[in-house]
Amino acid sequence: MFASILHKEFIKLRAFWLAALALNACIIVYVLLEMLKLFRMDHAEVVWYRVIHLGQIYYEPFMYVMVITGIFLAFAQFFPEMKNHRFRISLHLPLAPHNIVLGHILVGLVAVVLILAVDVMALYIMTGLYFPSEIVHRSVFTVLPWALAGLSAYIGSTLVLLEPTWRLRIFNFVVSLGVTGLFLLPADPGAYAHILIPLFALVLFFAPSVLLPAYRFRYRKF
Amino acid sequence: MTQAECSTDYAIEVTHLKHQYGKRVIYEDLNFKVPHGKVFALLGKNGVGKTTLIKILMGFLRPTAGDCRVFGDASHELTPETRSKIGLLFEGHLAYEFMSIEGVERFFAPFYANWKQELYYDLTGKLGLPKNHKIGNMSEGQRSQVVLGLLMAQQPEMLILDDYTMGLDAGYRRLFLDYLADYLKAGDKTVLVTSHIVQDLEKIVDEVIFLERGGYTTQMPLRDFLEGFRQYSLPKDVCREVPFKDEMIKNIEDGGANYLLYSFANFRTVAAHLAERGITPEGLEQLPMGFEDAFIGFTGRY
Repeated sequence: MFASILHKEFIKLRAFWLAALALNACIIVYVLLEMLKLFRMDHAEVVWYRVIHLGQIYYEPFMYVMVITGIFLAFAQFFPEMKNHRFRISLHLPLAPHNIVLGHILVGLVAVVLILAVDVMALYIMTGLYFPSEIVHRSVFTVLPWALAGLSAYIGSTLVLLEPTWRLRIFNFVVSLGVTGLFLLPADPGAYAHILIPLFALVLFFAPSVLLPAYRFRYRKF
Repeated sequence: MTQAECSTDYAIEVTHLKHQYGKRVIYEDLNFKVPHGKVFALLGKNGVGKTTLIKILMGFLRPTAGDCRVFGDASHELTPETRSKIGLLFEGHLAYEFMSIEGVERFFAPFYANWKQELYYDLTGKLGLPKNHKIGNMSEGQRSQVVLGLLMAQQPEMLILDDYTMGLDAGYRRLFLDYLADYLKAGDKTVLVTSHIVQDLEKIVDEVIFLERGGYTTQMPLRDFLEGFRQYSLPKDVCREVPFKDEMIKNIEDGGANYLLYSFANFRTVAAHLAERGITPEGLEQLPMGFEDAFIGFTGRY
């Protein structure tokens, strides 16, 4: 039965997932072209100096697209469920409500993670073509917090969408903005490397919070 | 009464139910019971709280006060086992538009032990559409057939149908009722239905629950209502006091040249009652009426 929930969400999300993947692929190509442009405009040693010593980041668009991917997939998954309160169909199924909700979230998170993993892998490979391994690792550690921001944006958007009252929806929005913003604070490249595990744990603990608005939707008083 | 007794005696039991949206009170003290194996029609004008009541029964709304039990469970704490016994048709034939005819059947089948796939395909086969046709690309009538097929395949102990007629033409309504009649043949099935087209219900409903503003209810067998509730006309051209509603005259409507009076009392009693109140019953006449007229007479036109 739980597998049925996962399968249903997969069917619902697959077209949107492909659209998000296409958007991310465009960004990957754009970042690759930006990187190649750096080497065309200047000598390689100048580019290395800028990237290694001055901390220039030529892959910043990943920050935006990762957050947008999280928000987009959350809307694709839950906006139609809130329209006419269609989510009631799922919540009437003979399964514990938390299993139903967490099944939905699991599929959404996996969908976001897969796309973000493609971004990180692409950055890893293309950076490795022109830079030493230290820079490759630093680049990956720079985008990983952004990937966590993408996951946080997905969870935060879900919190906002599932909440039935405007007052708490605004509250959830502010909380989500705060949590997601933590991963996007201006910092030197790779500065988050040593706290990635606690930050990942934060996202992990943020995920079950969607149960609260889901239960408020399920057992509402108005 | 203990919870165990509730669960065996009644499919639904509503006791002293109160619900309000902000300051707007929908029900103050709503009480009714639905025994197993009966078809109940929940009737009332728009805005009296029929859909609200169904949301409460299915646990999508927590009542302000009172007790509401479905198969013995508090309605806001329905167990998965209890939910598996209830087939629920949401207003507007809500469905997963992104799924196909075949896909939606495959999705629901594992949730229900008595799933009858053949009933689903019997109904959806009438659509003449390929199995991979998306529900989102269907008309409301076609979608209702898919939803009905899913409910029939589930073979629930109780069906709750929230305004199944919405958006359906006469043909689809008839199809819906035919399948509902087949479902009821299995016996011991309980149905709670709301509808705006009451005449459709006459053939299948055992009891009616009239819901009125403020949460007042009248519950009785449909046969008793149809036989006992009467319409009288009283010409306006005779000089007399204007009749008014009271404990015997349930409702009065303007019938053009006549007043239309509605009452459960027989002709002689109504005539005597009017006379007692100084209204001459001259010209009083009982008129025949169907279920819809009786419904409107009972609840009022506007």
